[in-house]
Amino acid sequence: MQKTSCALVVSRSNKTILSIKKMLAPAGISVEQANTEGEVFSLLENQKFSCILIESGLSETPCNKFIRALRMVIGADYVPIIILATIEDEAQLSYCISAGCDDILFKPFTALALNSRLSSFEKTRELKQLYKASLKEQIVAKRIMTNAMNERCLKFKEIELLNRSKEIFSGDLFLTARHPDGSLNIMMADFTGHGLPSTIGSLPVADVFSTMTEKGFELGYILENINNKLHTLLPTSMFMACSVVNISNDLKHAKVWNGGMPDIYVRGGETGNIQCKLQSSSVPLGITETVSNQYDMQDIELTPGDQFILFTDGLTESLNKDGDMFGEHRLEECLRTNRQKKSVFNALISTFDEFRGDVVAMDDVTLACIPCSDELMHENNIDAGKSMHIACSEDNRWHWYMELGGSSLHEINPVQNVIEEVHRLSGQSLSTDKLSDIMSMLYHNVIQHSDPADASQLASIHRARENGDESNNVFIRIGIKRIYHNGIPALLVHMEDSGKQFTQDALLSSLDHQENKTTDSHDNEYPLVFELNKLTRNKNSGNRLEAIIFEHDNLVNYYG
Amino acid sequence: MSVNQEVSKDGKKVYINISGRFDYKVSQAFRDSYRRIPGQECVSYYVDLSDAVYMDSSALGMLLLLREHAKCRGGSVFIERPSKQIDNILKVANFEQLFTINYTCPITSYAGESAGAEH
Repeated sequence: MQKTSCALVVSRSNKTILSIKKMLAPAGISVEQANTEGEVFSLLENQKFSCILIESGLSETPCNKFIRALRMVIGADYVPIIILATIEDEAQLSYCISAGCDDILFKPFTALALNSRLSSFEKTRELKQLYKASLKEQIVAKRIMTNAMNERCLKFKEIELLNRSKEIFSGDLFLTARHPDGSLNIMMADFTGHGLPSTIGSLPVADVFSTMTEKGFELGYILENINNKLHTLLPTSMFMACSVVNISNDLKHAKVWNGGMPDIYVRGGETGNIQCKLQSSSVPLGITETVSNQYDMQDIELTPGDQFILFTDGLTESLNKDGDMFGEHRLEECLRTNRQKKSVFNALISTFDEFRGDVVAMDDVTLACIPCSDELMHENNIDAGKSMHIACSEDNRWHWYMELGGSSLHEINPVQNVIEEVHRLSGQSLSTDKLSDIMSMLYHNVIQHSDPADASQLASIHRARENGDESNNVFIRIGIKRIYHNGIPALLVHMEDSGKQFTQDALLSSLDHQENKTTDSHDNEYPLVFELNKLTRNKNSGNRLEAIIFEHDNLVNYYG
Repeated sequence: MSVNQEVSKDGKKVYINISGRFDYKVSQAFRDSYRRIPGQECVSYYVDLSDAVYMDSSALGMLLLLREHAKCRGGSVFIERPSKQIDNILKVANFEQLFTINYTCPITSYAGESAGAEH
């Protein structure tokens, strides 16, 4: 325990306070006293405590509600809450634990009992700090990885892609590269396992795939090179299943190869029927040395408009609450019932999410619907700036992040990109209009209000670029996180810019202005509810805004 | 899920039975089932998957490790009686190119010849 640490004791009994002071003094822990809930919250605004000890029966509101409120105020900081209870309180204690209380001490207790509890919490604190540091490292590494992968992969509006990773890093990989003859090479791959070890092999694979495609090598030869590389790099227990497709420039032919992946589906553009399924014909890559004919491609004829549906086994092997697998039969049933639709992407995601419910995913899930359309052959690379998503399977939570700076800020309006990414990650549970309105409003707010001295942040960005001032580190960061706010599924939208912070008054006034404007402009179409939380506002700096969008209620809470 | 192992009297046959989910959670037990036995030269390993209900890519990786372990010591690996679901997973990975898979072999067990072990 650090000498400077201070415990907050919530009690009206001077005897209790004195006793705890005596118990904690040898450990160098000072004690601050609060008699009421109001005093607790007011102390928490200005001071950090190493732990909070609450004598049961003190609070005006039920103890579990008080603890829940405390947890909201404390936020992500690690502050153990211990209830000092009598045996009569036993029935209420389980509610307190589920509300966020960490431990219970029955009175009377000894100095040894209290100090032992606090020492144990210190160990937890150290572990949490280590975990946080490790998580930060992973996020930085993920960012580097995402940037590196973006450089090696073309992006197409036409290709609909869902990529949910079980952990920060995904073992699934989706790559596209243009062959000099105009055809398009597409690869979906799945490394053994998930997480960081599974993602390590992605970079060399992406390197070989993009470089060799651009140089005009045939897919079979590219696969051979990737296999040899992985065979050298990966440990024996790891491999990479992958399916590759080469769509000809005239959209009439495709070459396909599948090594260890689920069937590749070809859906008829006109009929919506499953035209064919292309099975795995080889062991995955990285297991054996290349043998002759291992990478012979299968030729198939296409009609423009046909669609390829590629997915990893994380999709078909996902379980529902009864332990049933999603399976190919459910996927095919979904394709059959949505025959009339131009794209089945959203229907597949909805069916999958409905099937899975709240069950924690066991694996990364990737799904791509690729229409063989003219746009696919002529569309240029879409530069979406720096973006990444960090997805966690637990309760379908995910986190997506984008940073625009330099040229990408000048060229890209991020609102559309954000909407596309949100739909890619979550399916169609949010109305596009609603999300678009809220994003535009926040984006406008960040641009307009972050630097009152400058009417337009964009204008300053443009000026900096025109002047060749590359050192001007101007950026806008946008983060979206799927959360459960008070148990309700919601999106936390966070926008931040490099401008000067603006005052709380300016922020309040801007938000009030937005509130009136939004209410006026939408005529109750989206009943927006604004709640400015005092504590949250005080914590935040003035150059960022946050909004919580409830997925099903059309409610929005804004925080500045 | 569990991993059961039996070794023949002469120590040249190792029978490994996996029941339930064959995934990363049993990796240590699976590894122990063939590493912690004396005299590992020219051993035949029989992996019985008749009681396994699912296997993930980590489990395929575990089989590859066993294959390497056996190969380095002049031994061999046989996959026995995979259930339909398990067989589909093996087929997608084309593991019949790497392992001998017996579908109809009689139940192989060496109970009585030596003490079994459960992990």
